[in-house]
Formats: sequence, C-alpha cells, structure tokens
Amino acid sequence: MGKRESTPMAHFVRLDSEGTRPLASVAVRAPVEASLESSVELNRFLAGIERRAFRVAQMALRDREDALDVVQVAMLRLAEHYARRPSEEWKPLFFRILYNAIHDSQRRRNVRSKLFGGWPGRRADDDSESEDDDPLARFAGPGPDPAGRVMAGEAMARLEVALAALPTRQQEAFVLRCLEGMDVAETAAVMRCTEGSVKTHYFRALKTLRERLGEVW
Amino acid sequence: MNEELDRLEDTARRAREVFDASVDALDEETRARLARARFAAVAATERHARPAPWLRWVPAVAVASTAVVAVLLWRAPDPSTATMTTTSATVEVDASLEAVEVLAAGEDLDLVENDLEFYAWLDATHFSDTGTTG
Repeated sequence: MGKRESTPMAHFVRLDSEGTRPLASVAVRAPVEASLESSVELNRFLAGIERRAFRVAQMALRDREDALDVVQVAMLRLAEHYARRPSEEWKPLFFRILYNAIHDSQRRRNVRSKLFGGWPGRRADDDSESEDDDPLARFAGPGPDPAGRVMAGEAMARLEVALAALPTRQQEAFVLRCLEGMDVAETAAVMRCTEGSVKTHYFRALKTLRERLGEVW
Repeated sequence: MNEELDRLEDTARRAREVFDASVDALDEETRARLARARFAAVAATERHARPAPWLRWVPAVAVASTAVVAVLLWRAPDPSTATMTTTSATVEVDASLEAVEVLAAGEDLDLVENDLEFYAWLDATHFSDTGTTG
C-alpha cells in the first residue's frame, strides 16, 4: 500500500452578523483553493472600506438609498471583474468604480428631474434633503456623549455643505486625497487625470474649504 | 506663508476627524445593509471563480461529435457510385415531372394511354437526352 497523501486543511471562519469579527474557526479537510483565500481577502477589504465608501457616496448624492445602491454596485463590479487583481490595486479600482456609479446616478437623477421635474405629485425629496440625509439627524440618538455627537454632526453638516459647493473634480480630489488618504498617483488613477491636475484640484479645494470653514471650525 | 500652509493642514486634519466620526456614527441598519451587499459581492466572486456547469460537458460533447463525424466518413458511399445513383434518381424525377406536365397541359389522354409508339419515343428521348437530341 502506498502512503496516503495528506489533504491540506482549509479553515472556514464563521463571522458575526456584520461579517467583520470572527466567531469561530472550523478546520475542514478539503483542498485549499486560491479562490477561497481571495474571497476571504476581498471580504476583509470590503468590510474595511464599505462604511467610508457609503459616506463618500452619501456626500456626493445627498441621498441614503442612492448611496447604498452605488456602493452595492461598486462592490459587485469589483468582485466580478477585479477580484483576481492584486489586492493592492483594489482600493483605487474600487473608488474609480464607485465614482463612475455616482456619476451614473447623478445623470439619471438629472434626466428624471428634467422629465418629471415640473409634474405635480413628484417626490417631495427630489430637491430637498430627506431626514435620512440630514447630517445632524444622522448623529442623533441614544449613546454616550450626546453633546459631542451633536457638535460632530454640526461640523459634518458644514463640511458637507461646503464640499457640495465645490466643483466636482475638486470634491473628488479632496475626498480621495484628504479623507481617504490616497497618494497623488492613486488619486490621479481614480480621477483619470494627471498628477499635476490632482495637486491643483486638491489645493484649490482645501483653500476654498479653509475660507468657508476656517471661521467656524 | 508657513502660517497659511499650517492653516490649510489644520483644515485637512479637522475634515478627516469629522469624516471619521461620521463613519463611526453610522446606524445599525445601514451597517447591516452594507454587510449584506458585501456578502452578495463576495458570493459573486465565488460564482465567477467556478466554471459554468455546462462547461463540464464540453469534452464529452467534443468526443461524441468527433466519433459521429468519423463514423459518417467511414460509412459514406464511394463518390462514383453516388454519382450513378444520383443520375438514376434524376432521370426518374425528370420522367415523373414530364408526365405531370403532359397531364397538366390537357393533352388527349386517350392518345397518351394508347399510343405505345409514343411511350417508346418518350423513352428514346429520355435516354438520348444525355447524348444527342431529344
């Protein structure tokens, strides 16, 4: 009898309801597949970025449901088309897809607005923000330090208003460079422009935000 | 100048703090929906990594198709025989068509039925068609 080959072990990790914290690890005798490892890594990457991506989308679209939709679209597209790419490329790819989805959503909204904008009976939140999109409302609720959260909510509301008044490219450069901490090259890849343009957009955005927020921050 | 740059840096730092706080303050329902979207995306990756079920049958279908073609080629009749057979069949079809044409033209059926000479001529015409005149 030949020596029986040992089958590599695969560890399946049970995650909590949010899928971020492991509850238990189960070792199963099965072939370890690269795709499984890739899935676990992708899950970890998306778990780390999804909430920030949602807030970025919400700031751009000023609508919670639309923001959830575009984040979902971005996740799916990244998973379907780029999951096999090196994980270091995922963040710029994800944000590029996210901004494409945001632009698509804005275009659809503009078309809807032109087609149905003057009709009676249109949605009340077409032009005005719903309660979900009120930054202050988002910070309200039970929990420790309600005063601190209200102040943070007010600061965020001011930032959103000031950011929304910037040209789109400046908004994107500011979000990617400042809030997401991407370097100039990554930001240029996401925005599909030169690094010099990124620097220009970012500087102008920062200067304008300083002028508008400097007094109150 | 340095003071101005410091102010800009302060603005960037403050914006990061405020943004991070807003991310941490996301409500449970939004977090749960984002997690569900993520599970769906990861599941899509696994679906893409697996080959489609119908692809498993491709080798078997290829082997079967090759076998069928091989058998057909092996069993195919000799080309010369095939030509002769085709010629006979063509003659039969032509004869039938001519008879139909004659009948359809309203010719004198009695003449057609009784005149053996006519049939003989008809036969002669058919077989001489391949060579001289009709």
